[in-house]
Amino acid sequence: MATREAGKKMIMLKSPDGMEFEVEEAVAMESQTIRKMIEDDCADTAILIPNINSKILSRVIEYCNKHVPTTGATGAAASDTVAPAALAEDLKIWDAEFIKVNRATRFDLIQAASYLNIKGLLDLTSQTTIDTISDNSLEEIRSFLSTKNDYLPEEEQTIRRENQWAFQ
Amino acid sequence: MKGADLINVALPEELLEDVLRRVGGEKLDLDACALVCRRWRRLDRATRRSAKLPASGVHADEVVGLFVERFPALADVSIDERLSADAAVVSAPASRSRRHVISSIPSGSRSRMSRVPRFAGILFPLPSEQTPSADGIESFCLTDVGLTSLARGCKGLEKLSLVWCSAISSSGLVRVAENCKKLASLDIQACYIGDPGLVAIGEGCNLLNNLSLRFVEGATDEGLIGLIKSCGQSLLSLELVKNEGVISIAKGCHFLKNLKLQCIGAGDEALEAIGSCCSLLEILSLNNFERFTDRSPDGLLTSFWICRSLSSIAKGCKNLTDLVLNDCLLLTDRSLEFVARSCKKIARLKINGCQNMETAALEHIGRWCPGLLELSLIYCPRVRDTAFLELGKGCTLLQSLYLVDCSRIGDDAMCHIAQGCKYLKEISIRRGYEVGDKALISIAENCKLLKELTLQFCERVSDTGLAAIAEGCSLQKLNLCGCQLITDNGLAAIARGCGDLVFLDISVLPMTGDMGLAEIGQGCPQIKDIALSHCPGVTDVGLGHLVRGCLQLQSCQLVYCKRVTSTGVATVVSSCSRLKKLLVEEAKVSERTRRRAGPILSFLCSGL
Repeated sequence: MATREAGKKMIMLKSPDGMEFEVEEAVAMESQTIRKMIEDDCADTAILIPNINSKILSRVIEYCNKHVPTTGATGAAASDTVAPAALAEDLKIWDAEFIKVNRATRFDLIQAASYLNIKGLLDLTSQTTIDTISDNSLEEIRSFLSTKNDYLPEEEQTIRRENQWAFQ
Repeated sequence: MKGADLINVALPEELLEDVLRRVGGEKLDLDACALVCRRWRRLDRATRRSAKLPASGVHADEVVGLFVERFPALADVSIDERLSADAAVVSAPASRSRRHVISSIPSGSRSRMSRVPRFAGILFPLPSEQTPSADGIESFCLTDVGLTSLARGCKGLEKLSLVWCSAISSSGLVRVAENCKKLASLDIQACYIGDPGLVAIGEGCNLLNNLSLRFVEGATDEGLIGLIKSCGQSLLSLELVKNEGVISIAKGCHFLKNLKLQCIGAGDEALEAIGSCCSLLEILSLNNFERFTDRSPDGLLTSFWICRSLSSIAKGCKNLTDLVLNDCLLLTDRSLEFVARSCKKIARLKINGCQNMETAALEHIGRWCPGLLELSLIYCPRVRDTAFLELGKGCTLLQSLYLVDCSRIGDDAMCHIAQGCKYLKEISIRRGYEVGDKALISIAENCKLLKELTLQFCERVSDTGLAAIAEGCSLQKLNLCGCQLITDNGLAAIARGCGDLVFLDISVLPMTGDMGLAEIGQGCPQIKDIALSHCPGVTDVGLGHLVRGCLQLQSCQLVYCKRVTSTGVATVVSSCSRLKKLLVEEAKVSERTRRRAGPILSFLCSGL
């Protein structure tokens, strides 16, 4: 169901729990998966996004909205006056704020970013996850990432010892 | 939240793999990942791409074999004879007693996990089948046995380095050639490899484009010719020491882009052959030309020879972008003029220990090479200030300048450079005894993009110059080691002007003290790496002020500060949660500090 609003092409995205989101085509096309659907003309009615619930989908759309290149849209006036570097800096700050979510949401976002093929979001979510690894103790990693330690103590020691075989 | 496994449930295999790939190649981080749980270990083992393995020790072959078994996807392996497999292998009883230590570490301890093994783990008894080699001769380093298991286990090998593995022979390399068809880079520096090995590599590894044969004994012209017959077309980069084969190499490898030659022994024809055959050469490094004095009847003739050879290079290799001339004692201004006039694409020039080069050589570079980005002059004592007038005029794109032991270069030279080269990002001057505040003021006025400044033992530099720099440039790295006129006022200026500083070396500054440190602590919260050894004015109080502000500190050097006590050391350790390395005298470490921070302490006295 592609509608027009203020000269912009709109796209309807549907989550499996029945919520509908109307977004600008340019925003939806931040996702390579949706872009392909649109380009292949599979998107005349609403696009159903399977596996991504409305809560996560709304966050994804929020991300895409922010990251869509400002081309003559509402942000145009602002972007004329703001230097690109400052804009990038601003985006970085926004990203940092955006990713302050709980772990479960972050892992859902990784999945969504992967399915919808949104590179920037995948980078952001994965990198945030991985940043907890360097500089943290093993227990901290396990608890930050919510992984369950399924090693037997003896087994863990063996791996620690084997780690000595190779050097940096 | 403990116990509830979210990430493993949420993420399917390929997604988790993708996430873990972002950890980067750092071994410590990968090791940490492998320890998290079994699934992660499996993923790590299936995907790890690079490793550095020990070549020394009785167990070297074993360790390589076992490692390869676990990590079949290795593509980049470096085997280093300076590392010993025995360090990782001790007898069973000893390891049992240490295991006790491990288990006494509370599992939630904050000790960085990467450090734990240093105390804890060290060590493991190898599987019992390990025995000295059957013939009763124990080998003490990696042999063809280990290399064979590597070749068979990691067929995807792309990069292999076997520096100084003296027990490797041709037959080991033959196994590599048979198994590792993707090999693109091979470094067999200082190995004893015969011709058959080289020929096999040439025939088996058609993708080879990078080969180092420095100090390789046992191979002759024949091997080299056999090698390049097969893969000469793909070879892009080659390092050689002996030069018997240079002519055939030049003729066989027309696509060579990178060539490093040491102690030329072939004569004029060799460089002439390179000049006429390797017209695509981009990087050329010529080392130790001075040996040639032995062969020529007198010095005059030799310098003439170098002129001639370099001129043939200059004529043929117009694409040269990087030129390194190390210890070419007889390099004259005239020979560099040839290069400058004809190789106009030169972007990086490094001249090290060429004592006969004078001012004119650099003037030609300035006149003819407008694309120069990087210039290093190391021990060129005869170059004078005026050389830089032309450089400043001509090389306006220059980004990095390194001057080490160029004793005649002073303020005027630096003013010329600063006024002409507005894009300079990095300036490094070591032992520039003639460089002082005037130079710094000019740099501060002109080089607004400067991020890194090194002024080691520039004894005329004082607070005035430093204040100008602090005002004009937003530095990230600053090294003031041994600039003895600098006082706390200079440090205060830096602290107020350069808030983005991440690296600061203020070692050997006799006139600085706690006030300076307090200012740094307040003004430079981003500092990760600080060196303040040999600062007699620094006390525990100053250190306290420093670490109160610099919470990002990861590395700190703190030796020979005679008024710093164990209290100060303890303050540093307890305040900086990110500290990874602290260099300090052993006597100043209390038992408590040692318990708390054992793994990050380092008592070695590094060279200042």
